Amino acid sequence: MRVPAATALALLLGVLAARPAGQQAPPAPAFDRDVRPILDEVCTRCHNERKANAGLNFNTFMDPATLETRRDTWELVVDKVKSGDMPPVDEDPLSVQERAAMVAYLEGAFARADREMKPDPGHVPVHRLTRVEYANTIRDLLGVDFRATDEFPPDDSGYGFDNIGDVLTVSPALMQRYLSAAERIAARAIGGGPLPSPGVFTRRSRVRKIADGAIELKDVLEYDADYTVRVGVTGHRGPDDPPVTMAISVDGQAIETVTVPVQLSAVNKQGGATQRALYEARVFLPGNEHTFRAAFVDDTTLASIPVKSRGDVGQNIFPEFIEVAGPFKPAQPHVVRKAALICDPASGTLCAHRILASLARRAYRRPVTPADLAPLNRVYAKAAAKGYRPLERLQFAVAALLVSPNFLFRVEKNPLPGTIARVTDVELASRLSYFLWSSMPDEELLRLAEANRLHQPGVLSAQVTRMLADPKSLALADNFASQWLGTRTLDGVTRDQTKFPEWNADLREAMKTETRLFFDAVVRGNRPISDFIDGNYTFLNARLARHYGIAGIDGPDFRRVELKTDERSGVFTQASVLTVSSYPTRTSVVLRGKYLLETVLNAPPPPPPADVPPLDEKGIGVAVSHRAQLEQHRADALCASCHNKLDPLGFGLENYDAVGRWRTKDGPFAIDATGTFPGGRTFSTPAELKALLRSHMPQFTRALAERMLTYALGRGVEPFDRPVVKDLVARTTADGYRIQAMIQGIVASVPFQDRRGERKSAVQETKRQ
Amino acid sequence: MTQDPKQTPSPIGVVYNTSMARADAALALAALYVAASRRQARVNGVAVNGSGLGAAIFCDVVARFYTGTARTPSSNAVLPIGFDSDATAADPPMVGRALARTRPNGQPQYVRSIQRVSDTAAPDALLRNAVTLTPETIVVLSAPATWLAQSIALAGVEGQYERRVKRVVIVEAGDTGRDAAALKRVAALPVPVVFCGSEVGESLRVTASRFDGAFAWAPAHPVADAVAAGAASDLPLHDLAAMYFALSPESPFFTVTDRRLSLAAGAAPACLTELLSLATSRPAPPPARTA
Amino acid sequence: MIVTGKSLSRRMVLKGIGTTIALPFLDAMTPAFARAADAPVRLAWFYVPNGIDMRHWTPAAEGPLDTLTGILAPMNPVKDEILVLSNLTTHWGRPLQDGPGDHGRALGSYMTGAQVYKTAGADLKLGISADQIAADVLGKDTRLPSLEVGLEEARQAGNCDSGYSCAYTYNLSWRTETQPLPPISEPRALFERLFGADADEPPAARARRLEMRRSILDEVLGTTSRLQAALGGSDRRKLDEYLTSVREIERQVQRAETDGVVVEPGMEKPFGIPVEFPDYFRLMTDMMVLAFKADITRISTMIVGREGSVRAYPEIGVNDGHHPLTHHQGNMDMLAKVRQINELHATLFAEFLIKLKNTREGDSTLLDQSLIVYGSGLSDGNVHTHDQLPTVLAGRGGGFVAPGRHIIYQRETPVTNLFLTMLHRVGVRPDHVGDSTGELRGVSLS
Repeated sequence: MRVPAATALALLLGVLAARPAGQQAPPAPAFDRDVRPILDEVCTRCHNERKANAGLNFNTFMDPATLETRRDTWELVVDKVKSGDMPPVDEDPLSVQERAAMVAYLEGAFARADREMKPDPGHVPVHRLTRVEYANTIRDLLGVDFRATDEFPPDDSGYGFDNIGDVLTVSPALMQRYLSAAERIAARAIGGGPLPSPGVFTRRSRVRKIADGAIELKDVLEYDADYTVRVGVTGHRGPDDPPVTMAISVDGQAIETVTVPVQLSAVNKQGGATQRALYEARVFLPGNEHTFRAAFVDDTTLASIPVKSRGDVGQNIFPEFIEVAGPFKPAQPHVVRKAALICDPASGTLCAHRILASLARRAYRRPVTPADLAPLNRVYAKAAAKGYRPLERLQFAVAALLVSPNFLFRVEKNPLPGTIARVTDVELASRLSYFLWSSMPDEELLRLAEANRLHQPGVLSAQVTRMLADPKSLALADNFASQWLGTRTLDGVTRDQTKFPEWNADLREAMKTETRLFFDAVVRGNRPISDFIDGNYTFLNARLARHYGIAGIDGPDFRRVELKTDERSGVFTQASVLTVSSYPTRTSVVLRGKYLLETVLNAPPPPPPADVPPLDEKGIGVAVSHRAQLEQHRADALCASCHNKLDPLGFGLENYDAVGRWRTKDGPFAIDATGTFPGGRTFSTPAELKALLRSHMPQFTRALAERMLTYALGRGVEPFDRPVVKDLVARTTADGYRIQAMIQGIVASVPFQDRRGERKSAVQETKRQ
Repeated sequence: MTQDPKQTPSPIGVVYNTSMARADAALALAALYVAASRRQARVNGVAVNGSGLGAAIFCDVVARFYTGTARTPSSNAVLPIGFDSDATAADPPMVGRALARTRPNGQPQYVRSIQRVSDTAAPDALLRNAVTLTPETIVVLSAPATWLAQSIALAGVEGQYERRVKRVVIVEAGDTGRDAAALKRVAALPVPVVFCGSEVGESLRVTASRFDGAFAWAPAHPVADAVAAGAASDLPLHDLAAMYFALSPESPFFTVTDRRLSLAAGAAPACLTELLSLATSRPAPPPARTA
Repeated sequence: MIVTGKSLSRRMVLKGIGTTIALPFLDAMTPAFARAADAPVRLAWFYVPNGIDMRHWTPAAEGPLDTLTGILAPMNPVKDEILVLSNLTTHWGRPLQDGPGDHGRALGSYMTGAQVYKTAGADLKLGISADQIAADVLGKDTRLPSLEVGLEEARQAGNCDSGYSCAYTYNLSWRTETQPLPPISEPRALFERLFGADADEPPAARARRLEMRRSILDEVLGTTSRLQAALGGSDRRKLDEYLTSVREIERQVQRAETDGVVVEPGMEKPFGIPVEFPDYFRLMTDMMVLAFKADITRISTMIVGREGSVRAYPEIGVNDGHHPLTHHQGNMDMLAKVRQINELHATLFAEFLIKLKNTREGDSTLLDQSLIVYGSGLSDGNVHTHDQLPTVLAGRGGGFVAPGRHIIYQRETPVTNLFLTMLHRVGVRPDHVGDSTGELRGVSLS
């Protein structure tokens, strides 16, 4: 007992008197006995007004009321005291009992406060579709492939995700794109409009080499029409080499086979091949995504050309690019059935209204009223008045549908201000489908919602299970996982070409696909989330297998592979994650350490202080090992307080270079992957590191739960969500950490099912014009 | 996630704006290059105004002599010599000997890259560029302040001079005060400005004989030639003192009161020795490149 | 205004393809200005990357130009219309303690004269470029304030040069200090930018379509207002943003209904990027000439290649990438190839100048009425020097310039002094353009 009795009594009275009315303050004596003396005598030595280390002045925390108002900081205090980080080792340490008593008191206070908190579902403003959601919705609504990532600018992100309602806006530039996209999509969905003038709309940058002498282009064609597939071949072989056969195919079907002479270019006087042979094939294609391939078949001469020279135009011949020109008026009439035309528009206005009503119900994701349909029908009528034909009129009306706010936004009714109400079933259906599919509800979901049965617990959980089993749930891997793990930034990553000559678009795509398929497998197979740490399987193709040094995998397609060595397991030693947590020229222990701290241990480090001197980059791997340089972090106790947690985790991953390959040396220095977790446990290999991470399942579960909750709700996690997160962690843990338990838990939670009402603004309803 | 680390900072940069009319200016230039070779400073830029083109060529010759660049530098590390191209002033007498000296084969003794005015740099741009070359700069002024004042007024450098210039040392001897308004503008910069009055240089006079053998480490030395040509009997070391102070402001030889430099009592002989030693030393060899 | 397409004889046939690109016919077009005295001065900038082999660029003597040799030789037909300017500098292209990244800095600082903030992230910071300073003032007089054209597909994000964002290496024009204006590199997109996406539709059909567009937007406004009535504070604000954007687009549609260059039927839009680089260059510059001739804009920039461009030029037998070649370390073969690339660019630019010269405008020519810069922010691409830059100023600026000379300035003279001079010529009088110190003397007649 550090405080004299008289003072304690005075403090007790004082604190009791200061208790805010109507609030159940924790028993004051415990605060004064277990917490305050420690603050007073130990903490405020450094955390006071003058010397506010890390910006903290504990003199302002002496009042137990701050347990509620400054909860976040108190949680930090608990974390640091519990793990032994604070007080720093060279200051006066606390005894085990003192530490335990302080922590127990504080955690008890938190639990009490959480129990008493009124459940608050929070509020997300009307939520615009992200561009991925737009593209998926168009696909499901109209069967049209639309590449929103090409047409629309990237969405702004918040809290690490691009689907945060508060952040998404519609600028005039984006509105212009919505309008033009709506017109084009409507033309494709209805098929009545005139074909635009031909052009080349495919991008050469999309062409991929899939093998020697074979290239592939995946792109979207917009109209049902004739197209000309053009393949450019370049290069030169010996005069005695036989000509080679090339097959041009679309979606796996060969459309043309040509014989290519192998002396394509007279080698000009500068020694270069200046000409190309161009081959064309004309074919009718319905508008949508297609795969075009140009491949040499039975190319017996290839084996005699050394691998290094296969890209040299003076030594070898190869297809160089594919592009598709069009659309041209079809030579022969083709009928392409349009899913949207449930009756024949030529039969009259009634049919058109039927089509629009059925589309509107699905596009607006709810039963439609005459007020909803009136604008669409008016557009139809106006087009009729201007002399357009029935299909064209319908196109205009569908375009109007696609720029309606009812389509572009997920609108939810506002409960009375300050009150909480359950969202309606149709609103719940949209929340559910955009969470799990990043797309609109399907017919089954919509019917259940319209029948007001969706919210029933049994029905709801069964739907979740069904939706996760549906192929469309790959959207979780595409959108949630890529942002949670940060692998979406792979598109912008560059690597130093001299240090990493094997880095190219093919490798990047392969890395992305591996992580995507892995995450999807965990969801689909309802695996425990510990698989992310050390699941011993993954998905590889030949390119990536070669990168990892795993033999026996051929071909460009991905397949599941059981991993046999300790080198790879889980997602955090996949090349994608290792690449985005490195610099272009080298690995970064600090970046990787930070990544693991944030993603696995739910303990993001504070930002570094302003005066950190720069690292001598030239010396790394040459004069001194990376590890040795970073030992400076240990020298100063203050630096060490964060870096003792950061660096070991990063060192533990040093066996993987900046593109995720396994290595045992960095220049002349052998990799030393040993480290010590604070708390004393050591590891010396990545496998041991993972085992240690695995022992932190509560933290990992909480970290993932918060991220997934953010994604599902479209808003950041707030303090009033704490009980929800706790509950999610409990549920997931109880089900063996299985991921579907977490997903079901989110869907069943208060914030997902309810909505808080907002005050209308004081200003009157916005006047038109 | 992809922030590149910054490089280590370099030595403080020095900008020398001189008329290169007296031999002590030549000595100051030599001292600057010696200090640069010892990595105590970095020559950001030299600008000449108030004299003829020969003065600029002389500075170029001295630069090459000390840094050993035989070819025309067209690189970002070495700025060309600034020169006031409108001036119709004559070449200072002291530069003539060095520039005219030839080798036995008739070629000029000292390598130079300036043939005509367009090989020199526009003075206002040069001064501005030199000041912004390094995070910290010292400016030594011993010429009419016209161009320095003009470079301060250039748009796009608001705040840069205030941030980067660590001190300005103004030599009052000679024609520095010729453009009074400009000088006032320079002195008004919100950075430490120190005036080196004529009395400082006067109390540091040397006779020409002090230099006998001082430059013996080089068979032919342009500054030695200038001193020999410029010093009639004895030589006040205005610019050299100012340059020395600029490089080592905490030196016990000098005190500053009310923005004026003065020699500490009794420090003259020791100071002289130190000054001459710096100006006439052999430059330090460049650091060995690591493999 | 109407652009007539009387003669469609001008087509360009690509080697071996069998399809054609038809381009509107520059000859048969009615120029926008009948009298030279009414005609405004046009400004354009052409940027070539990775420096130039300066040993074969700089004319031997100062003063009137003799027959040009070396890389400038292709410009001999227009030698009396050009000024060769030597010793210009981009000071802010230099490292200045920021470490490597000369390509990002070279392009970034060229038209802005500002220091390039070193980042590979989204926190770009540069300055406003000279052409946009002019466009701010003059842009309202033409349908397009300015036109940014490029011959490489632009990237805006990621690390392109040692920690400098790709935005710095791909963009020449900067609208504000944080917002680049990406160049259009796709011929069809450029065409549509000049004439509108539905420009090849007959006027009546186009008008009808625009009216329908406005009806759709009207309905959207109505729906949104009704929706807002039922919503709370933050929801209304979100929909307010949406409403504002819809109204803005409606305004644009209204403007497009009354204004807009209409093109005669039969004119074909260009079609994909030509395979051969010279054809691509010609196609895009033809459209620039068209834009000037029809007064769709008076300010244009063209990036012939992004800084650090790795394009190979197999058409002239250079199969190695441009950028690696420019780091020749003195290797004579590589140097020779660099020179070939420089000459190819100069040849194509000279063709462009000749087209401008052959385009009459009253009793003058379009070239006489223009001021066109051809240059780079690097001189020696091997060691990355940012001074003694290769710079040519073509055209007379409406009787402003006396060309046909080589002028050597004092070194360190900022290249932005040239841009300031050009801006003054068109009546735009900022205090400075980036790091300019004043006008360039000797350029103008007066």
